[in-house]
Amino acid sequence: MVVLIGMNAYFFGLFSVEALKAEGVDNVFGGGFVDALWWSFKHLLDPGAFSENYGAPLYVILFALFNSVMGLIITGALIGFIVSAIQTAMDNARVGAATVRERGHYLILGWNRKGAAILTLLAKLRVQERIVILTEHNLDALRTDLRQNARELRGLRVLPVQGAIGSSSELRRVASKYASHVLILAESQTGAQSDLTTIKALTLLTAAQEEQTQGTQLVAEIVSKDNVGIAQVASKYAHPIVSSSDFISKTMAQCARYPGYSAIYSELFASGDFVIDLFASPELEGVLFSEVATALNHAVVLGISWHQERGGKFRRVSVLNPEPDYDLGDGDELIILRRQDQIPELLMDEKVQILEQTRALNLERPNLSEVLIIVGNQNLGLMVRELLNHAAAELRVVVACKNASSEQKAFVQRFDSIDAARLNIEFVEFDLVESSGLERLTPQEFDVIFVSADESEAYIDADSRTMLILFLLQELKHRLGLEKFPPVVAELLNAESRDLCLETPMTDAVVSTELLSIQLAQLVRDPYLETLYNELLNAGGIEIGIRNISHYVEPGDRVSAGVLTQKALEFNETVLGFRRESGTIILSPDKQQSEHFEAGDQVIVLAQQVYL
Amino acid sequence: MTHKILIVEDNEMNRDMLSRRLTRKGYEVTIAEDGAIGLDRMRSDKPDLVLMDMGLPVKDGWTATAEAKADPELASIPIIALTAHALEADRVKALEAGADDFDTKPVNLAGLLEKMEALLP
Repeated sequence: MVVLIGMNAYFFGLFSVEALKAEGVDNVFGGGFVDALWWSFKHLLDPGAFSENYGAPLYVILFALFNSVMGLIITGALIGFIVSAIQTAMDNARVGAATVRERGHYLILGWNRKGAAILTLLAKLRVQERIVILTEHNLDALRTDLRQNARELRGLRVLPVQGAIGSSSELRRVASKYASHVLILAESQTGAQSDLTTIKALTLLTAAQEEQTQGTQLVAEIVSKDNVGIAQVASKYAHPIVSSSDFISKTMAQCARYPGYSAIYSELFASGDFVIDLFASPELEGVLFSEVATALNHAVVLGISWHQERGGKFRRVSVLNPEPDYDLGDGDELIILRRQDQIPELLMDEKVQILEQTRALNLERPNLSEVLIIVGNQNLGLMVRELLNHAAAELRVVVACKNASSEQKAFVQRFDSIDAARLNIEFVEFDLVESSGLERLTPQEFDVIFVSADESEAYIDADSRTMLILFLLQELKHRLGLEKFPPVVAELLNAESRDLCLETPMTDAVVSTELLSIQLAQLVRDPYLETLYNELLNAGGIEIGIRNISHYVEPGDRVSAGVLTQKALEFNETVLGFRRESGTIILSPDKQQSEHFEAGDQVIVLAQQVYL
Repeated sequence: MTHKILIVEDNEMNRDMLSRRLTRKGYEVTIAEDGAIGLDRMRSDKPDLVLMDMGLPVKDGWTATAEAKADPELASIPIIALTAHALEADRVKALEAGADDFDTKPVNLAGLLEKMEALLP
């Protein structure tokens, strides 16, 4: 429009003899339309061209002035518009208001302290897809988490977005329908409220999935075990649901049964060095499990997996540690544990002893009958229930906490269904401020001591409290001159705290954030591992057992891991690896390489749990 | 003739494994997760034989076996009690409850099949 107005200078003598004397007026094409357009356009884009009209008629100069001024206004507006658009885009990115146009991306809904650990594992697994995080929390905290783990997260493409995970419009904004993997994290660790949001998001995603042809792999974290059933209904039993409180309670109970369990569990699942994989080969048909368990090198055969049809739907069935005489058939695949960089090798020509019958391993089974829990938290009831599941006879539990009588009342109200005939539970007043109270509890007389993470007071770091109790236990042990002390299982929230407690009597640190994150990250990629994880932690099924080497080979002997595997198969056990007396853990050892075993060494096996 | 076997077992993996192995041997397998459901299935499915785990939730294997044997409608269905290796002392308890035979877990399939065939009609 401005150019057209400027071209009107033509009618006011733009190409007159007078005007052509001016430096800035040209009639290259005979002073017609093209020359007028050029002149007008030049003044709009270049304000400096105005000075070249010196000597031209007044009206021409006025038109030149108009175009130059309008040019300045338009250029200014244009720059302002661009700056404003960039600013808006930056603000949107900062507050997480961006709209996602990804396909096949990873989507993390919700954010808590497990988030960074999950991203770390995804980085280790070299995930190339963009990872979109939708959370209702302020993104500054999330960005701080990312910044603190910047080195571990190198290579990941992360986009934080702010919004409610239980809103369908927000889920559309992050293209949840097109995500390949969705991981729902509890927005807070306080339970019910957070679970409601998670369940709503699950319902929305499950409904959206029904319209899709390509399925999204989804896993959800539920804080309270009581809400798992509802979450399963919301997800139409199609996706793994992980209860964080249940997981922590079960892991702590297992650590009490086998001191050192958490280190093995971490090495297996949290180190990122090992993967659980499926292995199939036509050579396997008709072969016994005991044969292939010994013959497959550079891997541990954990179990068998196959597809099964039930109610018109196919599901993958996974079974750990089957009987040695299980004959592999059509459709059977091996569940194997291997190092990331190892390629399994089937050595079927190896001479393998065929096992006709297994026998019982005569060993002292872990049995807990007296338990001290220092500082109960919201997982107390679940932990007591889990300990009861593992207890062969009566169980005495002493809970040392603040406001003992009200805690006891709350416990009885909430867990009235707990097997009261076998449980003798007592709540004792204990406050960290009065440290001498610890000695009165006589912790040295219990079978195991649990120190739970206490997050009841926001201004005191839970790990600091736990560490203080551990130091007090250490001081007590030292002061009383005790050589033997019960195993101490501590719940920590931060992996770095574990290293600070090495000089304390702590035998196991359950870093819930670390272990649970790994499970969530693996389940979203391989949902069939859900039954495997559940089985390893549940009472009454298959467990990770830690046995003295003398049950399998004579201490001082030099044998290969293959021979050790065969020996364990006689007891229907699968060798995962071994732990040296020094504490070094060796998993998935080379089956052909000979190892020298000493009396203090232990074998790590998968075995059926037995209670005596 | 295909024999119908009911497996009463609370552990999903044990159930899946035994069910797969028996199906491959030509049996028709149904499952129940606890003693109470097991009794219901015995009434509704009329299996030819029951493999009953002893340590079950809701209603344990001993109680379920005793109730089945006390019920004229179910008494004739043979029951093989299953329990873990180290709990062989439970054998007497299972036989007292009315179980027709006993086997240990983990099962040796050949041995279990022999016991099953001896009891099947």
